[in-house]
Amino acid sequence: MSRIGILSYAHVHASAYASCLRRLSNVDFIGIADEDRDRGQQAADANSVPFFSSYDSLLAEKPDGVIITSENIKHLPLTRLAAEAGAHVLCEKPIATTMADGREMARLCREHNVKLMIAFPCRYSPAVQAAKRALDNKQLGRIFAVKATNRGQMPGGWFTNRELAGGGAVIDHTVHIMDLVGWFWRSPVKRVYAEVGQDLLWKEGVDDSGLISFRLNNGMFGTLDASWSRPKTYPTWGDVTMEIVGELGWLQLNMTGQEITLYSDARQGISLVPWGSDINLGLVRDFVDVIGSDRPSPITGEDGLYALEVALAAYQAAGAGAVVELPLE
Amino acid sequence: MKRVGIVGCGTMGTTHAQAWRSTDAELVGFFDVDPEAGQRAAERFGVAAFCDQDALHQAVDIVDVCTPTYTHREVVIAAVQAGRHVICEKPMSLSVEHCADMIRGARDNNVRLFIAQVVRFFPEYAAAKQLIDDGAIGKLGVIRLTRGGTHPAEGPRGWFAEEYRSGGVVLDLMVHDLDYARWLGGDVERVFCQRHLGPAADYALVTLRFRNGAMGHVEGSWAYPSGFRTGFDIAGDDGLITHNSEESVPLTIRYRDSGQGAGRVTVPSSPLFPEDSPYALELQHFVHCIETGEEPLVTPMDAMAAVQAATAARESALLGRPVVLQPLAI
Repeated sequence: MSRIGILSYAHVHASAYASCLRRLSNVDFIGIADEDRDRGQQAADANSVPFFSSYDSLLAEKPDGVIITSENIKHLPLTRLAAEAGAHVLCEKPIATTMADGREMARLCREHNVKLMIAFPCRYSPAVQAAKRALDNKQLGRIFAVKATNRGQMPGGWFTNRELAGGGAVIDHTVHIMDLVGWFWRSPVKRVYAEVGQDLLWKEGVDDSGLISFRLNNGMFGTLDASWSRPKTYPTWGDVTMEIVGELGWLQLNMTGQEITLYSDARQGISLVPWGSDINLGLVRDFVDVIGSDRPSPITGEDGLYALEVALAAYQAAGAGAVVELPLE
Repeated sequence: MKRVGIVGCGTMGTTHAQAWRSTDAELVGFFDVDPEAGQRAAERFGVAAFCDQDALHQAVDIVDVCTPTYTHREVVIAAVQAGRHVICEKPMSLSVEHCADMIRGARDNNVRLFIAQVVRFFPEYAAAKQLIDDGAIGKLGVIRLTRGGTHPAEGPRGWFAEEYRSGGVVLDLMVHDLDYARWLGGDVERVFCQRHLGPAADYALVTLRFRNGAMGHVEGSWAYPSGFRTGFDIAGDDGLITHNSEESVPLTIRYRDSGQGAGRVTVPSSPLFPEDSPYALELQHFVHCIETGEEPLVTPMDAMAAVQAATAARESALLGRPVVLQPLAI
């Protein structure tokens, strides 16, 4: 039985992870700590677990692991608290808002001998895993290019607060796809170019659209659309897609493609209702398994940094109107 | 009734010949540098086969140039110098300089020149443009366009695969969407392109930044194992318009294996009234412009700007950096 707590309920994914913790029979969900008393108390009540009004008080319960779902800027301080308390960490993406913060998180976890895992649930999608197997087996031969999208609706809240999020759409939506790119091809990103738009689609005072072009050391190139370009009337939150062009074929991945369509007069709208496997459950279950075993973290701090670096490079490239070489200085 | 002659009897020559039947102009005949090809087309459509381009000029009011891209400047300039109005297939030419020569040639000879950027006449593309003009999705933000098929085969279509003759996928195919992108988003400020150009696959991903701040993403593929598809996903600050040709298919017929090794074949189709064919709409529009003196939906300067964006994309792919477009002038 692993004892797991949640540090901060600021991120929208927190409730999904909490529901996974409740569903796992080998987890003792010890509670939720939040600096926002109302938010934390409400979340604790909804999950029927204790509320802790400080992170320290939850960590004093000596959990085996914690899930950090704070605003991006707080990933480092919360990881530090957890590592110093000897708790393994599952941290929401992006790993941090700067490379220095992310590196420090990885260092702290090494120093305190706890595992750091970054929450990239897309790796647990059965469709994504099947795509990876096809690529690993060289079924498409040499790969030339990938065209990817991780578009979404505008999330609102602190996601549009540069101070708390480290940016807008680009830092929010670059990392899932770039993590898959890094996982699929294990090749460093060599160059990044980007068009980034602020107040093009929304009036939030932060970047809301981004078209990121990248090239890997292995010669492949790709683009990624990280825009919050799905309107409020869109029937689902967004998408995760990849089209991979290879010597022997062409692979189309629409990760959320397992959906039924609901036309509801009662709910005044059209919506896509997912029925596929719960990738968040796959992620949280693996975290629980990893901290109870000798397995190393399957999604390391270095993996988190790989994806973050592309988002940061995209901002740099857009600012300079020029291609940026990686690694960043 | 205006009389039309087609130069070049390949796929586009016969496609246009079919479309001319739904216009109020008369197709008089064909000329092709390959006399047998000219003769075949003439017999199929029941019109004349001319022995050279000059003979065709003598018999027509409008010359419809459907030759390979690398010949456009020469063929168009011969026609305008003969005092004929010209409709020329896309891409207008292989370079901005050639385009400018063509525009000057038409102007100096007091005839009209039209470039067949047919995507503007495709009903789904025209409908999206109309919705955008009507304010259905607000101010444009991110314009995504895609178009792709198999690599041009060996044989009569072989010239398509030759970069120096067709401009490859970036010029030949993507010029459609680069023109459409400009129609929606206006002038392009800069272009970035990454491309794989190999013997069996030519694939490019382009990003655009428009002068008005909007951005675009254009995919061009001659790399698919089979089929052909087009699509768009156009996001504004008040909505989104999407299209995927694979989902806009009112009729699909699936054949059982004939047992003769042909395999199972799926034939999707999206038929229209003959007069609603984008080619018929386009040619009829150009005839109307000749008769009335009106400006066309797509001007030669528009077509030249699309060529400029495409050639800038090819340059960007070679240089590995974004290319800024200079304002065009004749």
